[in-house]
Amino acid sequence: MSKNSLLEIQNLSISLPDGGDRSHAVDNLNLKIIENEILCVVGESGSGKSMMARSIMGLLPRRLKITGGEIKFEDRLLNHLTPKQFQKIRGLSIAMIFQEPMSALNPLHSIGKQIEEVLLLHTSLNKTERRQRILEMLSSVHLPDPQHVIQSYPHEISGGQRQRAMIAMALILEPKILIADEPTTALDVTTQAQILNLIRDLQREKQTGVIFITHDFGVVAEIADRIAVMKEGQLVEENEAQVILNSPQHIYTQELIRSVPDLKTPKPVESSKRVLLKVDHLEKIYQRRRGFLGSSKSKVFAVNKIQFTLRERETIGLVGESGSGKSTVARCIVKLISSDGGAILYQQKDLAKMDRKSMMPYRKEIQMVFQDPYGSLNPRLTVGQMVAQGPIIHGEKQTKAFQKAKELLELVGLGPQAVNRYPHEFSGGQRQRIGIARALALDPKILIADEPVSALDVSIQAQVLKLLGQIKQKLNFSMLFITHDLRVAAQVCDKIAVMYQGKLVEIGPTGKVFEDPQHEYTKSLLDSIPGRNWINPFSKNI
Amino acid sequence: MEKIKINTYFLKLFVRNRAAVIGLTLLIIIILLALLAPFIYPGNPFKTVGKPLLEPFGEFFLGTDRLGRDVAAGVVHGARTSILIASIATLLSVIFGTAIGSLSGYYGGQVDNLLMRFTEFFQTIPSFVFAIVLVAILQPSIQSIVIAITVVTWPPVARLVRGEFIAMRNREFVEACICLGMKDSAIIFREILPNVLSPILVTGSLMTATAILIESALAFLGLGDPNVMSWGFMIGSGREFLRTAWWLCAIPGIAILLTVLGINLVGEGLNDTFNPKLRNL
Amino acid sequence: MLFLTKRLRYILRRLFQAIPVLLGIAIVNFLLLQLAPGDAADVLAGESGSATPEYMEMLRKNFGLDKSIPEQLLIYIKNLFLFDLGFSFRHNMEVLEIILDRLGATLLLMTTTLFLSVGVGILLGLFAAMRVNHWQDSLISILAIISYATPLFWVGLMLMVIFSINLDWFPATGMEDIIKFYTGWERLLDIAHHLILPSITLSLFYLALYTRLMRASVLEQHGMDYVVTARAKGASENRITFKHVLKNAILPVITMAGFQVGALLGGSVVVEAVFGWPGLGQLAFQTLFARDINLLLGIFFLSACLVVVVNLLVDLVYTFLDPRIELD
Repeated sequence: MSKNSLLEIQNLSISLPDGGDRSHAVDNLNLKIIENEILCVVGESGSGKSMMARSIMGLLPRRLKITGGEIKFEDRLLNHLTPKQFQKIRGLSIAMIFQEPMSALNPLHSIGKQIEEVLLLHTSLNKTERRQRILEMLSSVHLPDPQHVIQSYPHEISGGQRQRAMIAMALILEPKILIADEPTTALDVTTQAQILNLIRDLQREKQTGVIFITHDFGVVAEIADRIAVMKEGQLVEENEAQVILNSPQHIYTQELIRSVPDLKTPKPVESSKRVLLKVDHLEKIYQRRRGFLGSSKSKVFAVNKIQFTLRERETIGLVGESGSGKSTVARCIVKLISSDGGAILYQQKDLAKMDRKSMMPYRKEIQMVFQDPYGSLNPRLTVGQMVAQGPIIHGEKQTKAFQKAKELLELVGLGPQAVNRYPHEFSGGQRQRIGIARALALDPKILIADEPVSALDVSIQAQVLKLLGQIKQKLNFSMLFITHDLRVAAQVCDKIAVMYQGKLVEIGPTGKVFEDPQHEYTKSLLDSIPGRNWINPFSKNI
Repeated sequence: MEKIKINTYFLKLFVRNRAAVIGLTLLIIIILLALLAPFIYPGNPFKTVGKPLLEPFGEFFLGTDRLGRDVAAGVVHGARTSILIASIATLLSVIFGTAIGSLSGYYGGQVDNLLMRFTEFFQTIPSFVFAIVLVAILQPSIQSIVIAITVVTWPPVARLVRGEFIAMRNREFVEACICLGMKDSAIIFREILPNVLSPILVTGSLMTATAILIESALAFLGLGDPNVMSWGFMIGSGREFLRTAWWLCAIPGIAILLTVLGINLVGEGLNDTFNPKLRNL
Repeated sequence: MLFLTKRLRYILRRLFQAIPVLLGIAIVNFLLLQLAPGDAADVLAGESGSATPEYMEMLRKNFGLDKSIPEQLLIYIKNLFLFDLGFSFRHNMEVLEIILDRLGATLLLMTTTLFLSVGVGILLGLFAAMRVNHWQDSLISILAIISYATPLFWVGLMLMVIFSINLDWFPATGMEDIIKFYTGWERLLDIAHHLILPSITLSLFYLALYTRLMRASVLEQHGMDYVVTARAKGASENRITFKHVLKNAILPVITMAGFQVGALLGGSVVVEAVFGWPGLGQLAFQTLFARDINLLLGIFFLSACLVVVVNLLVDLVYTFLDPRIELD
C-alpha cells in the first residue's frame, strides 16, 4: 500500500537574521509529503513549522534565507526556482491557506473577485465558465447562498465563512498539495470542527496531499494520518499518527503529549461549603445606536440573567465560545464594567450597586488574572513595583509591600531577584506567573482567571496550570476560571458552567457535564472538541 | 540602573540615523546663533548700519536691506523670535491638547463625545485663516501670535493623545490597576502617560516646525510683532526688490528652510527610534 | 436603487451634522467681533468714519446693537445664514458680493493644487516605494523632506525670481492679461499660463506630504497578510502592486487630503498674496492692511463653509473607494 511521495524536503536549513536567540529557523530538516494523506506538523511557537511551510512555496520573509538542502517537487528543485517559475506553480500545483482569514483576504475585493483571480492566473476560461466554477466550488465548501457570497466583501461574512472561502480559493484548481498553516486556530471550537471535517472530506475527495500545521494535539488526533513533531527548527519525531499518539518515542513528544490536558479526569466533588459569591440574574446590555435617519436602536444582551454560586475552595469553569459573554461576566464581577441589572452578592453585600469608593475594601477580596502576558504588565515598571502596587494602594508600608512581593515571586517559581527586573526580560509563561503574583498580593478570597493560559504554548500551559493548582491548595482561595478550551476546564475545574450567547445554559459538576450533558448546545460543544475520542497515553500521570 | 540603560540604548539608535544627526547639528548651530545674537550682533537689528541694498560678501557678510539694515543681524535676531514663539506656542499647544485628549480617551462615553466634537470643530476651521483673523483682531504682538498658533495647532495633538489613551485604556495592565483599586488620576499620570510620552514627543517636535512656518507666514503678511525682527518680515519687506536685490528674500528663506528641515529630521529620527517596526521600511 | 438611497441618506445625515459646525463658526465669528477694538457698529461698517450717520443707525438697528448680547448673537446668526454679511464702503459693495466675485479664482487655484498634489504625490510615492532602498527612492525622499521644510511664500518668490524674472517663462502676477481681452479658448490658455507658478508653489508642500504618506502606505500594505495570499495564488509582483496594494494604499492619502483642505485654503492666502492672484486669499491680504474686520470675518465664515462642503465631498469619494465604511 505504498503511496507516492509528492514532495521531498532534504536537509533543509533556513537562516534567521543576526541578533536573534537562534541562528536558524529550520535546521537540517528531512520530510516527505505523500499523496492522499494529511501530514500534521506539530510544534510549539518558534519550532520553525511555519517557516518550513513558507519555504516550500517560496514565501519566506525577506530576511530569512534558505542556506542549505533541497525541496524536490515533480522533479524540480523548488528552492532554485525564479519568482516567475514559482508563480506558475503557486495556486495551481501547490496551494496555501492561512490562520487569520480576515487579514489574509483583501478587504477591498469581493470574495468572488479574489477566487476568480486564481482562475485568471492559471486558466483560460471565459467569464461565464469562471463564474460557474466559482459557484460550484463555493457549494462544495458548504457556503450558504453562493450567489450572495460572490458579491460580498470579507468583512460582511463570518470568520468561519471566510475560512471556507479561503479553502475554496485554494482548492478550486485541485492542487496536488495543500499547505494549511494553523487554519483553525483563530476559530471557535464549533466552527473549527466544521472546518476540520471540510478539509478532511475535500482531501479524501480530491486525493490531495495536505500539510497541516498546528500546535494543538487535539486537532492532530482528529485528522492526522501521519505526524511530524518539530522543536526549535529540527524534526524530533515522525511516524504514523496512531504510533505517535499512543506510544511516542522521543522525550520531547512525550512531554508535549503529557502536557495536553486530558478530558477524562473528573475531579471529585467535595461536600458543600460556605457560599462566597452569589451572582443573581446578572445583566449587561449593549445598545447599538442608529442615527435618526436610520432604523431604531437594537439591544444586545451580552449577559442575559446569569445566576450561579461560588463556594469556598471551589473552582468553577465558565466555558463558552467568543461572544458567549463569559469575559463580560468576569469583568462585571470585578467592576471593570458596570452591569445593567441583577445582583453580585459577596458576603451578603451587593457589589453591583456599589460606587468606586465603597468597592475599595472589597477589591482586596476579589482579584483577577488576565489573558495577555504581554499586555497585562506595564512595560515601564519593575516586577517588584507591580506586585507591591496593590498592597501599597490599600495602605501597606513600602518596605513590607516589597517584602511580600519577594515572597510571592518565590511562591510562583521566580526567584526574589525578579523584583528589580522589567517585564521584557521574561518569557510569556513567566509573565503570567508575575500576573498571578500580583493578583495574590492582596490575599484575595476569590481569584478570577480570564483565559490565563490561552496565549501560552501547551507545555508552558501545563506548568502554569500546575502552579495554579498548587497555590490554590496552599492558599485556599476559590476560582472562577474562564476559558474556551474544554480540555483545560476539565483538568482544573470542580464545576462547569456553559455559556451561550449571554445565557447560562448548563451548570454542574465537571464529570457529570462531560459524561451526561443535558443542553443541546453543551452536547454540540463537547462533540466539537477535536480528538475527543483519543485517549492520552499519559492520562494517569496528570 | 535599568532606566539609564534604556536611555543610552535609545540614544545609540538615534545617533546611528545619519539624517537625524544632520538635523540635530543644524538645530544646534541655529540655536547657538540665536542665543549668541546679542553678542555677535549687539544692539537693535532695526538700526541702519550702512548704505542700503549692499550685496553680500562685501562690507557686510550678508549685505544690507533697503533701509541699510544689516541682513546678517536680522537673520540672527530673527532666529530668536522664531524659536521663542515656536517653542512657547508648541508647549502650550501640547499641554492643552494632551489634557483634552487624555480625558477624552480615558473616560470615553459622553465626555469623549463632547470633547471630540469640540476638537473636530477646531479642526474644521481653516487654520491659517483663523490665525490671521485672530492676530488681526488682537493686534499683532508676540503674545497674540503665540495665542493664534496655539489655538490652531492643538487639535491634532488631542486626537493623537486620545487615540493612544484609548489603546492603553484597553490594555490589561490598566485593567489590573483598576482591579487593584487605583485612583483614576494615578492611573492617568503614573501608568498611562509615561507610556504615551514618545509619540507626544515626536508630534511636539514636528509641530515646532509647523509653528515656525505659521509664524513666518504671518510676519510676511505684515502681521508680525512690529517690535521684533522676524524672518518673515524680512522676506516681506524685500519683496519689492526681487528683481534687483533678490538675496534679501532668499537669505531669510534659507534660514527658515534650514531650521524647519533640522527640526523635521530630528523629529523623524525620534520617531524611528521609538518605533522600531517602521525602521525597516 | 437601494444602494443609491442609502448613500443619499448618508449625505443628508452628514449635511445635518454640518449645521452645528456652521453654527459654531458663526458664534466664533460673533465672539471675535466682540473682541475687536472699537464699537461693534464701527467694525461692521468696515472703516470707522467713512459711513454715513444714517447708515450707522440702520446698522445698529439691523444688528440689534442696542439689545442684550444673547439677542445680538441670535440676530447675527440669523443674518449670517441669510448671507447678510454686511456692506463694505471701501469696495462699495455688499460683502457677500465681494467674496463671491473672488471665489472662482480661489476655487480654480485650490482644485488645480488638489489634483496636482494628490495625483503626482500618489504616483511619486508609489514609484519611490517600488524602488525602495534604491537611489530613486532616496532622491525622492530627500526632495520631499526639503520641500516639506520650505515656507510657501518663499518658494513662490524664488520660483518667481527664477522662472518669471530671469527666464521669463511665466508671468509673475495676476490671473490673466487683462489688456489683451482674450476670449474663449485663448482666454483659457492665458489663465492656465498664469496658473502654473501659483499652483506649483502651493502644491509643493502638499506634494511632499502625500508622496511620503503614499510611500509609507504602500510599504505598509506590502507587509500585509493578503499580499502573501495573493503571492500564494501565483500573482506576479506587478499584479500585486497595482491590483491589490494600490487601492488599499490610497485610502489614507485621500483621508489626509480631506484633512488638509482647511490648510490649503490658508496656503492660498499666502500664495495669492505673492502672485497677485485675484482670489479670496488676496482679498484677505488686502483687507488686513485696511483693517476691515467685517470683511475679514466674512471671508472667514465663507471659507469655513467651503471647507465643510469639500470635506463632505471627500467623504463621499471615500465611500466609493472603501466598502467597509458603514453608510448606516
